[in-house]
Amino acid sequence: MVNRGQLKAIWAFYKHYSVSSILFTLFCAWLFWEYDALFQIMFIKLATGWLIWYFIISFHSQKLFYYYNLHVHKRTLWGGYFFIDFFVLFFILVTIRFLK
Amino acid sequence: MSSDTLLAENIFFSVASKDILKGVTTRADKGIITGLLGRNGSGKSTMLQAMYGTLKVQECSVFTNGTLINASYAKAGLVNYLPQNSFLPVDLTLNSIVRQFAIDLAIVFAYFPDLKDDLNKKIGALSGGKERLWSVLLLLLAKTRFTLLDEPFTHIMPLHIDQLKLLLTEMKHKKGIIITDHNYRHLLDVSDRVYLMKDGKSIYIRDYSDLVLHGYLRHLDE
Repeated sequence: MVNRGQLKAIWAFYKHYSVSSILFTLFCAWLFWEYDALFQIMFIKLATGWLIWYFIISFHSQKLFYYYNLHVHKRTLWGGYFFIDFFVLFFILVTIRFLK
Repeated sequence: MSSDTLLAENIFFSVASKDILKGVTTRADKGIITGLLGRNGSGKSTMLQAMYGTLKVQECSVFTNGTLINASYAKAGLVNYLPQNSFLPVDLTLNSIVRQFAIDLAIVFAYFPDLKDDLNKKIGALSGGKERLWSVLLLLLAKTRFTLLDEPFTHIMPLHIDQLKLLLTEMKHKKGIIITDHNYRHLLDVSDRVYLMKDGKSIYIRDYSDLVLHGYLRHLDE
């Protein structure tokens, strides 16, 4: 079970590394607005998600100890990160669908 | 004093067909500071990270008071680990981090009164030495039963090191502590037992002369 402190840590982790993923999400939103390309959007999000994960574990692995020291399991940390990321994407896509 | 032990047994780790750790065992006990010495690449950090559960090794069993555990770092209140390099997010203020780790600032300021001015600063605005000191303090004062410190004295100025050694001596009554550091004099000052990592094994050090005997030091200075 994830406690409040761990949730705060996951949120801090997402905020810290969110810039690139939000840029990719905005690109996906544009694709959806222009072309309705849902399959391509999912592929781009998965591929860029893997890239972000690879970048962080390759070049920022020491920084992850901050979250480990708050007793957040690796699975929970990354699961939380991608949950928020996909939730933001889903929210934007639904909003676009509504506006169109 | 109640006994409380974190034990990492039979740690095997090799990379690119080179054996780094050959079935080494280490333990942290409440009331005792364990010092680990060893040359660069001797496997000190690897061993601590295997014990902490963040590094995948070929073999390692971690027990707390006889109970086998996986991913010890993810067990709330069990163990924390200071890595060799900076791990605090540069965009957060010390205040927010202190709240997150729920440490008692009264203890910090009793030992380090000059740190009071840092609280509203972001980590990125601290000097390397202050950032290192705060990292050690956060983990040492966090409510965990064990703390693993990888080079805690690095970058810290001598006046602060003296205070830190006093704090370590006090905190060992509340938790088990393992320290590695190349500043062997400081490490020997605070450690109750010392091991030397050599050839993938750990060797118990009885006194300073053993460090010469096993080739860690060329000679004893005094």
